[in-house]
Amino acid sequence: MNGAHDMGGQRDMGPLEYEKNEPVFHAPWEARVYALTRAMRAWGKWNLDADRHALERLPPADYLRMSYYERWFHRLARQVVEHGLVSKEEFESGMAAPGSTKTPAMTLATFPHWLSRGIPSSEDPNVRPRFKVRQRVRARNISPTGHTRLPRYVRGKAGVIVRDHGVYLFPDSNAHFQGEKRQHVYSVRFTAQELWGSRAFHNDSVYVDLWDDYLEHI
Amino acid sequence: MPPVWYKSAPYRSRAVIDPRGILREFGTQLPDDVEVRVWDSTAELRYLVLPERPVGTETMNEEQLTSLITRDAMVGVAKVTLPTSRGNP
Repeated sequence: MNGAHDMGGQRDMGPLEYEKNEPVFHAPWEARVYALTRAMRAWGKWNLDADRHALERLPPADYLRMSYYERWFHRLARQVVEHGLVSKEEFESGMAAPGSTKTPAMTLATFPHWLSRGIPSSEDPNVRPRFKVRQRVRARNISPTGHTRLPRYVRGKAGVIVRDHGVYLFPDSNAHFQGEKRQHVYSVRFTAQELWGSRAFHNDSVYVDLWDDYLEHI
Repeated sequence: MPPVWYKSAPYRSRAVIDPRGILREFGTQLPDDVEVRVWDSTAELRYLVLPERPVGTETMNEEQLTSLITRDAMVGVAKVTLPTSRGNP
């Protein structure tokens, strides 16, 4: 989705606000939102890619205005209602509807692996790579309307495969519960001049991790 | 957990197009003959930054070396410096 989140290459988005000895969280609610977000995924109603897409679907002006954990809070609010864990009324009142048993309290007994982490990836020999290391490729010029991890700034640009990372779920389909479409992910090197023009520094480059379906042969 | 600036729009937008400018803001001035490689972590791969060992640390043990490491050095925006030169322009 061509949204506000896909901001690589934009200018003038403000100064870097560096904070010396920055704490992990700036307020207790941030830690709570972080923990809730991690915990609520344990229901299995949505996956990590769907969660990323939910952030992208925040209204662009809100996305840019909100702090990192504000975005997480609004995403969580949207996810639990959209996926039917609580009703909009329940969320707003903070109280379960009378007689509601749809979403029992989460406990360690019912969700012993609530924090189980790990990204599905593998060295599956049955999934063939379409490209080889050192091969020149072009990032496809596409504008998916759903989730994608193909940044706008590399679309249509030529690069070189420098590494094959193995097999991963395809976010563009997985985020929409349309299948895992497991495929190879590569590290692709683009020169700064290919991306930004001849005035870019001649020996700088950007390495982007790209899925097979994002690339085409040159 | 990454610091707030690392997740902010100003950094995310500029890092890929103006890495040298960003490094300058962190006080890291790179000579022109140093190649800058930006790693945009667009998939599930995460990268570990191994800071360059500063000259003059050859006799230091692991504990002394560890004490020189900063968060910025691990993020990759600052070099590791010796205490005597730290803070100097």
